[in-house]
Amino acid sequence: MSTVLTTTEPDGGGAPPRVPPTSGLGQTLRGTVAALPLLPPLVLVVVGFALFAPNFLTGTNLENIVVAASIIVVPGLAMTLCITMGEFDLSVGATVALTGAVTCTVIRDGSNAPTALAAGVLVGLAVGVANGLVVTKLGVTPFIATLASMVIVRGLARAYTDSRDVIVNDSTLKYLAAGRPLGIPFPVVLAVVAIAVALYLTYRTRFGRWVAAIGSNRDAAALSGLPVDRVRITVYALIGLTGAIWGATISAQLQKGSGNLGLGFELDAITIVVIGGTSLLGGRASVFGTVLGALLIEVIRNGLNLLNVAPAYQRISIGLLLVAALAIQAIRRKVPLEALDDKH
Amino acid sequence: MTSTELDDGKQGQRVTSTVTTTEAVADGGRPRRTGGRDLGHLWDSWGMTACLAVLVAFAAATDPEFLQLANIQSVLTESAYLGIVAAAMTVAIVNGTFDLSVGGQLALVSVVSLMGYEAGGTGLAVAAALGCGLACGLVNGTLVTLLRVPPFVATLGMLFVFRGVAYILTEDSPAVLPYTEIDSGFAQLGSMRIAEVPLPFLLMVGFFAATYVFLRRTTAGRRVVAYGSSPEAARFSGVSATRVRFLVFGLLGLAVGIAVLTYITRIWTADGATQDGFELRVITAAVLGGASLQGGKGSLVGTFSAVLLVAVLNDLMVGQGVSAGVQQMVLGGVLILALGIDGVRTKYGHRFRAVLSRRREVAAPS
Amino acid sequence: MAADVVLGIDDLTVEFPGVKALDGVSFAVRPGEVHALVGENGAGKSTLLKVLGGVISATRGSVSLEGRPYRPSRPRDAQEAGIAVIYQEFTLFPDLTVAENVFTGREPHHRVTRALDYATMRAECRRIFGQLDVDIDPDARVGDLSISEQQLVEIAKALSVDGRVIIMDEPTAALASSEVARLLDVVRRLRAEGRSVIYVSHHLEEVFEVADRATVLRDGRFVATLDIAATTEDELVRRMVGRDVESVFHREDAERGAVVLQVQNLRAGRVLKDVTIDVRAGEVVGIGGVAGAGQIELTQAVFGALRVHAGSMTLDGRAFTPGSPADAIRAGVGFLHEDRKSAGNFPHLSVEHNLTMTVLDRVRGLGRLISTRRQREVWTTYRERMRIKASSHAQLISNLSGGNQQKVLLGRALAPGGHLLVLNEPTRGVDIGAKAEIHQLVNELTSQGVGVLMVSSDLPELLGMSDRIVVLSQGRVVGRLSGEDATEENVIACATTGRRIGVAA
Repeated sequence: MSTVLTTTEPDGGGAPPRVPPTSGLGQTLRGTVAALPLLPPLVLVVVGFALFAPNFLTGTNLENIVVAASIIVVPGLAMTLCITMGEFDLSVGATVALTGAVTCTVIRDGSNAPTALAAGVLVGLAVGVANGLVVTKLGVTPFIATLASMVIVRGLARAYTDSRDVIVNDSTLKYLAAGRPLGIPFPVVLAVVAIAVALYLTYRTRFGRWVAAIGSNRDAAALSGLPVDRVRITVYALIGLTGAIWGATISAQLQKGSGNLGLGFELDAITIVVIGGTSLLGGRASVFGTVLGALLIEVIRNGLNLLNVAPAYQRISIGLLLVAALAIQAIRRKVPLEALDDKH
Repeated sequence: MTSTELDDGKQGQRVTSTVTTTEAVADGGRPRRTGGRDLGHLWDSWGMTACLAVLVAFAAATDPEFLQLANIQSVLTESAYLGIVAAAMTVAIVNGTFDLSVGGQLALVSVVSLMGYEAGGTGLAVAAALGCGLACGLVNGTLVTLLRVPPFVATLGMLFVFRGVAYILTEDSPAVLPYTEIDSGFAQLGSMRIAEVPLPFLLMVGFFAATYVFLRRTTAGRRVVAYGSSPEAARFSGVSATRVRFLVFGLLGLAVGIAVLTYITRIWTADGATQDGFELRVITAAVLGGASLQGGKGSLVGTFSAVLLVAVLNDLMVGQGVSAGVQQMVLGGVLILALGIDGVRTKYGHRFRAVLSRRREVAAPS
Repeated sequence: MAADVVLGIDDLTVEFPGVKALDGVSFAVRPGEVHALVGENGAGKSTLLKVLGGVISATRGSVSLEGRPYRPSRPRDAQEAGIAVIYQEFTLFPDLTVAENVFTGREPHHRVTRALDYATMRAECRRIFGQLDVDIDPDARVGDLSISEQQLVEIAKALSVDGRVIIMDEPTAALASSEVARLLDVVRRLRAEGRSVIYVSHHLEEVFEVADRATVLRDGRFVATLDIAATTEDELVRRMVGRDVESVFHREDAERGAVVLQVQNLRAGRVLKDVTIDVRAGEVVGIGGVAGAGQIELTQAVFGALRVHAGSMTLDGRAFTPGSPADAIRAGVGFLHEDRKSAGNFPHLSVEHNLTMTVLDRVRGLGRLISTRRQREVWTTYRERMRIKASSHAQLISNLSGGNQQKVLLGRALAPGGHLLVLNEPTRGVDIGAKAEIHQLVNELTSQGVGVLMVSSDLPELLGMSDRIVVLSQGRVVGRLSGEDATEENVIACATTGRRIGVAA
């Protein structure tokens, strides 16, 4: 993979292409341009699998890919905001498990699906707000705070389910994963809406600009009177919220909740954002990049599946993809080693 | 003279002991601070040891079996592999970085070491463990230096890669040390005792001592600490960032190799899922011990106490039949608590101290 | 009386544990005046500004704004009250555009859709920049602007809140002389509009050029408020230091020796195009020019911290191609970084460990381990030589005053024992007393045969301390000044107007 990606590196590797007038539209454009280097590898991977993987180019399979990418992109968009802010949330995978387990348990105990979904969403929001409070009010480094909360929430999910699967059979819940309004899979509809909201929020509203401002220069944001803590808590809450949606969708697909759901999902969510071109140093969001990133890793996962490659290899390839994308970013910008250290 | 720093608005910055300055700093050039400062200083040096003592007292009081020799031996043995890696992690955190991949490394090195034993006995198993550990560390080192991947994310990615490789190597069946090998030298590594002290614990003490000497008395160690305190200043003092980071990640890999020698020789089996969440326990121990994630500051003595604390806590929970999920939660909670105390002290410490010192002025107007 | 006061400060006291940063300070700022705030480092100026800006709150005392009590608890309160603070460290966001920066926190937006109103932001920016008579594209990314343009964005930000009181903390610290003149024009224009400006500066000539009155602080206490028209520079300095100060710059001639450093047609980094320069033993060669003309790059290239593309260097007559600072240190080059806080100090380490950082290989003893005794010897030697005031070898460097920190770092630079010392802004942010001491040290060093390459944006210092001055512009040498040529006018002319002196055109 890495060799493929390297070919997209412009020679000299200086400044990114300059986008003339910057406005809301210009920012959107800038974000889009940041995503462009991702197109060639995506095309290459698609062509590669089309040639070598049986049944890759069938309609059903392509739809599977788009649906999978749609499911992952929603939390990915929230993670985009978080990384733009110069921070991470590692607890999103555990949130998937906990909210999925809560949703399924509430259904199993006799409530209807909307109530159950609301319960899941509330739990997700609570996790997010808790993360936000710990990083802002207690001043704990986000990376470690959410690493700890990943373990706590995972433990909570396991304790809550008593480490057993919560099997449900609910048609409303199923609709989340398999419903087709107007013939379009529901996750795709949800993703399109989410992308539209994310574009607007990120590039056209004060909130989005504040997120970028905090990622660009946190101290200056405080001195400029921005409500830094509130913005940060909101971003973590958004991750909790989208994590809950993710959890509900996965539970709907599997028709079960479990404390072991969503293992390693945090890596997926971070990977799609990072390969999408959103800088880990903060300040620059690429919403379209995240969308393309989601497509790229789902194409890879799907293709490897078709080629009967074991899941362990898939995990390895995603880990390597993340590392390779970052290496290319850093080398292209000629980041001095010390600069990487000052940020965290 | 004394208020220059105040003018910079840095009055909240903590002035506490670090690995490199254990000598008292209280007699600084500025007016002596009172109250909270000394309290914080005391906490940094002995807080974790005090917590350990309290927890041990609690354990002894509630569980009559806790103080029995066999149980103490088991706690000490159990703490060894965690402690060895935590010592290296403390060095990494002092250096301003950390390694999330140690859990993956532990799994992979365990598997490789067992495969080494199968192929060539004790000698090869030991060599395989140390070699594979070092190799993992150097891979991380390469990523964060030559390829410029931020350490946090690089090691997060490698956590999955190392585990993935361990999974692949054990796809058909987990790697095991057969029961017939119970008397082999390899198996003895984990169970031998010298004067009733378990060998793994002695290895851990030795590793802590060596790490201490490394940080305090070698030039490379000094450079590691200096880089953690200020990467830019280190660069302009002739410290090579690449060399320092290779050293830190190499040390971590080597520590995992040694840790595996005390771990796999008791557990006898490993696969891709071995020690899930290990990285968190290691980081918890280092942070509980007083290492600051901002770099430049950490205490091996504190980490040592924290390792034992985590081991005792685990022993207690296992003894009480606490479920794995709850164990996880408790550990994560302890980490958040430790970080929270640290964060609150950094953030609001000076206010707290201001209140304290004012009170003291009122109390002792002389 | 009250009508004549826009900002009244009364008995303001700020206590930090064990220290009073401000102690009962009272003075008044009148409407439409430029009020300078002067004092040595540590006098309490920044603390005062932070109180006014709502960053920290006072322990005692009060502030009134146009007769009403003013007690900001956060930066936003200050903005809303019409007090705009331009801090010494920029509060800009490099990843955002100029317009977004100017309106950060107060962005005009649609009430229902919440969409940002970029048209208004842009128009308003243009209006403010028009007022300032500068041409900056509101859509440019701030990270792409020059330092002085960024400073102007900061000022535009202050104007956009319609600040009645504008506070500037060392606004010229990052500016070159021509840009300083422009900034002072802006300050005068603000005054003409009836706004009050509190102007904090170390540069007394600026104070005399632009201010109406000046308040002097010392050790956190109010000393005096003086009418600028009725006072002198000497008087002001005397009030600041609390004693008479002799001429600050006093260069003693030293005997010139062999060429220590020779730089031939050097091209390095992005800025440095073609520089030829040499430094002899016993002399101080000053490098001048506007900020970003290549001075810093030159020193970094000499120190191996910047990649050299073309040209050659010799050190003590031998070819010199340092690949890293480590190489340069091994060759005996001493280097002082211009940014003491982030690239000089190791804040967690003791003074002794800070100082011995460049000579670790020499303090090893038994078994190649660091020898405490040898380390102490190095520390003692340089403590005496640099006259460092520290309570013990174990004191943390961050507990020292700026001047003493600088002396520790000078010791670190000298410890390798070579003949070349590269000094970047040797006295930036140190008080007047320490400044004189550091200059005295430089004199001693040159008399011992050390050659010094010095960059300083403090023009009087550059002129006063250098035996020769080389002026750079856009990475090339445009002036070589010595003796009678070395005047303020000539340096500025070379740096800014394209005039050449002592250099073939």
